[in-house]
Amino acid sequence: MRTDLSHLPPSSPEEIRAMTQRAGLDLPEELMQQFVAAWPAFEAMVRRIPRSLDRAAESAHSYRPLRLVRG
Amino acid sequence: MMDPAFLTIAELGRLYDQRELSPVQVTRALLDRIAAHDGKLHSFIRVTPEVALAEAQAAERELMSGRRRGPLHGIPYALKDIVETAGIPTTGHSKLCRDYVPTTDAHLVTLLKASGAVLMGKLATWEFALGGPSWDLPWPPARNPWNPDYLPGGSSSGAGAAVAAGFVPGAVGTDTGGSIRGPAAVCGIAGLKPTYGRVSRRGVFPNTFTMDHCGPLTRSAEDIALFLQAIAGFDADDPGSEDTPVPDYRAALTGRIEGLRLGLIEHWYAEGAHPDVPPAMSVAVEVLRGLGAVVEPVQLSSLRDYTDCKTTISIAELYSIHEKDLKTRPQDFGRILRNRVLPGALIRAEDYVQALRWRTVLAREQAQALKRFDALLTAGALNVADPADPNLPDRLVSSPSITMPFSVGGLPALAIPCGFSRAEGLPLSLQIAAAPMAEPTVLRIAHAYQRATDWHRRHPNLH
Repeated sequence: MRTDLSHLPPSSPEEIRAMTQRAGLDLPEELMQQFVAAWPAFEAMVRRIPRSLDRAAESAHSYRPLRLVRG
Repeated sequence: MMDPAFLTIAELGRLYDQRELSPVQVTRALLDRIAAHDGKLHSFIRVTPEVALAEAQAAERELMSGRRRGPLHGIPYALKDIVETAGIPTTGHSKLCRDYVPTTDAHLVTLLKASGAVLMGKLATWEFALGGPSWDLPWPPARNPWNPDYLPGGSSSGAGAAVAAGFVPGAVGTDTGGSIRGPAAVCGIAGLKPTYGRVSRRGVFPNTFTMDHCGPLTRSAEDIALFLQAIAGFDADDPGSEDTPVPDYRAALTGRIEGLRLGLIEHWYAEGAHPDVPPAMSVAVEVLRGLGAVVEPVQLSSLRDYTDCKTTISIAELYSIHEKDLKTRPQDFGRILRNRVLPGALIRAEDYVQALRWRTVLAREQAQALKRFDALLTAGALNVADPADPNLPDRLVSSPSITMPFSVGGLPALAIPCGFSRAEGLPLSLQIAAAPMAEPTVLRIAHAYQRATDWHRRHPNLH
């Protein structure tokens, strides 16, 4: 069964501001207001990511040390 | 002299061989056409007439002396302005890079120079291949040649507009979630996102390292084959590049698709699409059946799943690329790009890694389907072109994308025209995808379809 985090309540504008500042961003007020309006759609998206993948499910990263040496 | 505006790369090559047209004649005619009409379309950020005429003259000398480098020799083309060009500004359509002049060419530019192609200029894009359409950047957004009240899609907006407008027969775009196929679809041309790793990304501004692709936009599947031949291949300095032999793409264009098994992903566009998309797709499927293909339905995960997976990965990687500038000069980004990239600051490490793990699951689902089918079919776009309205809401996250699934899979995927909407008279599109490195299969199907239809032969009237 798929599990995700979509049951969590959306972050409040105050929480978004606090998270943004913790990330080291010091946005002018006008830009902060735009971001506070934009974030909820992204937050909902991230929370839809399934959290119940098989333990062995590999990340789709690619690290091939030989390629770095050859390059 | 014959008007070369809508001649294909293949046709120009034949006319060069027969000495009925020359690269200098074609280049001058297309430069004149750009000068006459691009003021309304804004497809070019920078036209490079001196470079174009010098390269055309060099090509003409070689062709006249009997030396033909290949199918792109003497063929005009243009580059999305995130592809670096030595000595020519490369802006990313952004204030941040307005004065950036690279000292070296992108790898694919080196290959195009070696092929003898003629660079006409640098093309509009959504800011850094993501933020757009934007009206708050140093250059205006490109417009759709079929109707300048509409947009040409993005992010390879100028590439879609310039090829459809008859300014160049081919262009290079980039595609992370659909930025080649989207503009191709809404501009009524062909656009190929090759397999991840097929075309080098070295010297191209990054968007999402794990999903960036470079590829051609042209007016026919045959021209896609010719263009891809010039830019495909291994690059040891691109960590994502695949060391796999490059086949003869033109040889794949047999015109025959009898017995090919095609999986139709109808549920992706059955609901929520423009009302003319499903019927246009039905007609296209019947054409392919008439050519002998066996078309059967196939079910994959929802577009919402693919879009969530891709966009989470993308914004996390994008933020890492732009973090320094977002912290020191956020006001220099366009509003749309800034509000699409800033969310990456709040993506947690576990969100990003879970999305990467989900990508493997979704890509395997496609691989399983491609054990049953030679290729997959779906719509090239869910809608026709958007109106050129600065107040349209940002739909990056709210509307699922029909191009992102094959970005997640890293599969070759080609958009070609398959009709026009009745109300707006704007292009509709068919998308064909296949297994990794199966570009020949994709091109074979598209070429056979275009031999049986004439959608790709219809062009906008520029007034």
